[in-house]
Amino acid sequence: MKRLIAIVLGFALAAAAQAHTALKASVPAADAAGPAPKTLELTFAGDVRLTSVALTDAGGAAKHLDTVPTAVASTFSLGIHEPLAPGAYKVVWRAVGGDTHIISGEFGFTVR
Amino acid sequence: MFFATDALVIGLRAVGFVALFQAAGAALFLALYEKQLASVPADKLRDFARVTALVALIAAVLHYVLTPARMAGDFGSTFDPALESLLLRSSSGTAHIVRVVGLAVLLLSLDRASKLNTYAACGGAALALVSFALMGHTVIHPLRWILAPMLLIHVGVAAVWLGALAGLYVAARETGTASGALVTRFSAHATWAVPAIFVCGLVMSVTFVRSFAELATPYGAMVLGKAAGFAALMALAARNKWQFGPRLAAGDAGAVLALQRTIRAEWVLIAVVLMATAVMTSLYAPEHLEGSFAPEHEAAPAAH
Repeated sequence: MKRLIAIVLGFALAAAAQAHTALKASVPAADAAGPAPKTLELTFAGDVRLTSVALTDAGGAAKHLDTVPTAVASTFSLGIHEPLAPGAYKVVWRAVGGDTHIISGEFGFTVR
Repeated sequence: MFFATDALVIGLRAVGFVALFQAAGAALFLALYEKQLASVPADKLRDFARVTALVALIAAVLHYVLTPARMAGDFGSTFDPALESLLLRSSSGTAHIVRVVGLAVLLLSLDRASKLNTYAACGGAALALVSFALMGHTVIHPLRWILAPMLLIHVGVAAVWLGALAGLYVAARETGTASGALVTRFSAHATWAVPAIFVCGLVMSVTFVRSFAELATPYGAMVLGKAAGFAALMALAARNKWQFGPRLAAGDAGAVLALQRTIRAEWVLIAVVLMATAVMTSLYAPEHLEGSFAPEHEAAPAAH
């Protein structure tokens, strides 16, 4: 049984590594480079309930964002509460779609 | 992005799937074949079913409690009222309640053999299995009226198959060649019932995977993997039916260990298929249902 669980969990990790992103667009866009944004905008093709969003710099330090709204929607705009210094940033998000199907993803952008 | 919450919650779901199918299947097998089982193997199978029902119940409750944590990707959100409310109001919430009630009834009715307990165990098993049709990708599909009965037959027969494997294994171990009649009888019934798993699985697959190209998606790969697992299972089951059943019925003691080996292999294969299904359906939906969430995140133009 232990072997079975190990096989399935290994399979899960491999599968998750290939999980496709369900986010349609964002501002800043994925891999974009430009001035420091004051808001983070995430757009999904359908309605979802956004459950978490984290913005971190290259050192892994979290940046303070608006509280994630509890509303079900397709576009979410979160204010960034501190100025972003030039450098690379990563956004990690998670949302719940139809029938509590959980989707998640990450993307990066650079502030010049 | 894969979180620790994913590993734990999906792991619980995978273990819960196997335990639920085992418990429900063993209860249904006992209801159908207890008269052909000696009392010792019947009691041992009942004990095993009770243990697996308990495991399934614990896994189902933990899965439900921890799902808000998985929704947020953070264990700190386990008791987030907004996420708990979202889960409770979803079809998944209803399905979990039905599943937990079914498993509790199953657990309580497996303490000893009686006619009332047999009816209650069948009711509990039915509720636990029906819960699969109350959540998941079939619920949000426009062809739910076809998919739900297909899914119920699919999981029902698969559960009886898994339960029967435990029953036949215990019968062979405890009663040796005397189990030959039971093996022959079950094999005769399985010849008609098991293809239903394939037929229902095929109908659901054609509905969910709408083109050969979609077989290349993770969901399509799961369908192909299940088909390959089913083919291997059919080969093992055919060996039981055509080789070991007749040998046991003829009093060949050497067939007892061989049958037990094949049953173990079948059990492991079904468990792997169930766990893989639990994992993959947690991470992926059929391509056209995922479509409601958009295909890909648009990246910035290269020359930005």
